[in-house]
Amino acid sequence: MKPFGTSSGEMPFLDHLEELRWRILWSLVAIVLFTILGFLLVTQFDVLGILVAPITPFLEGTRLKYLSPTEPFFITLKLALLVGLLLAGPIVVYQLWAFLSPALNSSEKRAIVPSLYFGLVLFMAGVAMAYYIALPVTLQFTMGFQTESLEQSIVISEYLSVVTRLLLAFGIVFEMPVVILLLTFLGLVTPEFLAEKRRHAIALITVVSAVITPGDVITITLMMMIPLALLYELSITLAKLVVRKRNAEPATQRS
Amino acid sequence: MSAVGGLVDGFRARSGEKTFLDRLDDVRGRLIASLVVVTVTTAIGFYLAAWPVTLQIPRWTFDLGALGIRQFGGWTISLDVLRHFIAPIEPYLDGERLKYLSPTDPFFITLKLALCIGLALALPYLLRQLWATLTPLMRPEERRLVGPAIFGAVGLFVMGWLFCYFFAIPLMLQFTMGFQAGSLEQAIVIGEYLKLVLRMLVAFGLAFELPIVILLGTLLGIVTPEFLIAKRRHAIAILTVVSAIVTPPDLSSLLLLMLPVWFLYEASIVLSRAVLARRPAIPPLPGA
Repeated sequence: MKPFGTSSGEMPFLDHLEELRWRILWSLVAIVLFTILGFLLVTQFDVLGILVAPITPFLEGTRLKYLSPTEPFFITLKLALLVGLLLAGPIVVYQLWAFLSPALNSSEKRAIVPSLYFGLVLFMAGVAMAYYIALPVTLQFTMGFQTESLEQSIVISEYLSVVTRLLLAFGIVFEMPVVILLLTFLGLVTPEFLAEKRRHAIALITVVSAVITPGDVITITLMMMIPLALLYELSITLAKLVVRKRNAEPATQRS
Repeated sequence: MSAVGGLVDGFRARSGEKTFLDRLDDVRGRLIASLVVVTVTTAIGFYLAAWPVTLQIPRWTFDLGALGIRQFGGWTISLDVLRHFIAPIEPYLDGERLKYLSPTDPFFITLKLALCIGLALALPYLLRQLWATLTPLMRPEERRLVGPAIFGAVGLFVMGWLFCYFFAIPLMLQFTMGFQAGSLEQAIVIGEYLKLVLRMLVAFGLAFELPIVILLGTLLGIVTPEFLIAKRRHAIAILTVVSAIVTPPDLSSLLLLMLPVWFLYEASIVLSRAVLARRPAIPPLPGA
């Protein structure tokens, strides 16, 4: 392991701390500014409407309810923070990257930048999958019980917690290929190892999907499990590419 | 206290035929078997809770000659468990249904009901397992008490439930919902209501076990009827405190639980006297 910072010239340790302080400060400023922008966006445009859309068919013409008089304001604030975090995300990631990149060598840099983009795309794919497919199916399933004895009177806070949990869960687990690719690049796993342990991986994926997805027995678990198994296969293929490319590179660059 | 100590010593002495590890192995097997049974009955319970069945008992007509014509059956039995849970509050809902707040609630409520049904269905098996675990550690004269004790315990538990369901819950609802009727409107949520009802049912079921505890205590020589009479005032104070803790925080359910249990306390004193008059208490093991 190389000493921290040697590849960026001769920057002393305290200077790194100073740099870190400013990068954190700028990230916070970005988040605050974008949250204010988010507040404007949420009040001007119907952001909440997008989140609520999947449940509207089940509401029988009524609207989502709130139980406390302060809730409409705090829900808006929460949404503004969410929008702010999303918009400030690229800046925060850039600051993190600018702080870390001097410590990496050029081949590591070449691996990490694409994987950041790849990770972003996968995250959005996971969220889209959750929003367009998993969420409606979940709602249809869970709200299909006891329709004769119970009446819906769904509260915005409960609904938002279900939605955010589902969207985040799908987004995060869809990052699996990025993690596998980075591990392959670092030489911690090999494509052969991944292919050999496929059965263990699928068992693990099933368990994780069953735990993360809300209480359903089969359908939603399958909805998370099948794409994950496919992503696992995809990452094996990509890992093979990484290994082939690394072997093609001159050996001097690695050591 | 010496009697309790004697029991513990007795356990050690009489488990001599099998080693301690063998016993542990038995217990593990029984635990696994019980879990399997509860899983299966819960699956049945889920089916019952999600897709309720209505049983139609056909009407039978018997011509008994001199005794005339007797009819039997013709009942409709609804196995819609949630409906039965909701029935006590139905008159207060103004024709509406109970509400749920989270989109996942209907499923999880069904799951909870399934677990309740599953446990109720598995109860005889679980008690059988418990008995099989405990009997080898008992003397024959103690063992004879177990069968009646289990029947009595189940009977009293069911009595507590029936009392709670048909009497205590309706009275409590009438009391608590009678306030502020002019200013407030009900929008009762299933989760809250179910929590309340289940808490009441468990509290009453357990509290009604008191006579069994007292009878076993007198028969094993741990307490005497005279002791119970002498300590009556302490007992009532304890009953009140325990009732206040186990029931939901309103005055009515406390009184509704405390008064019948006090009656059961007095009844068990009379009963234990009658039993002791017929047969003496089982003496503790010699040397204890």
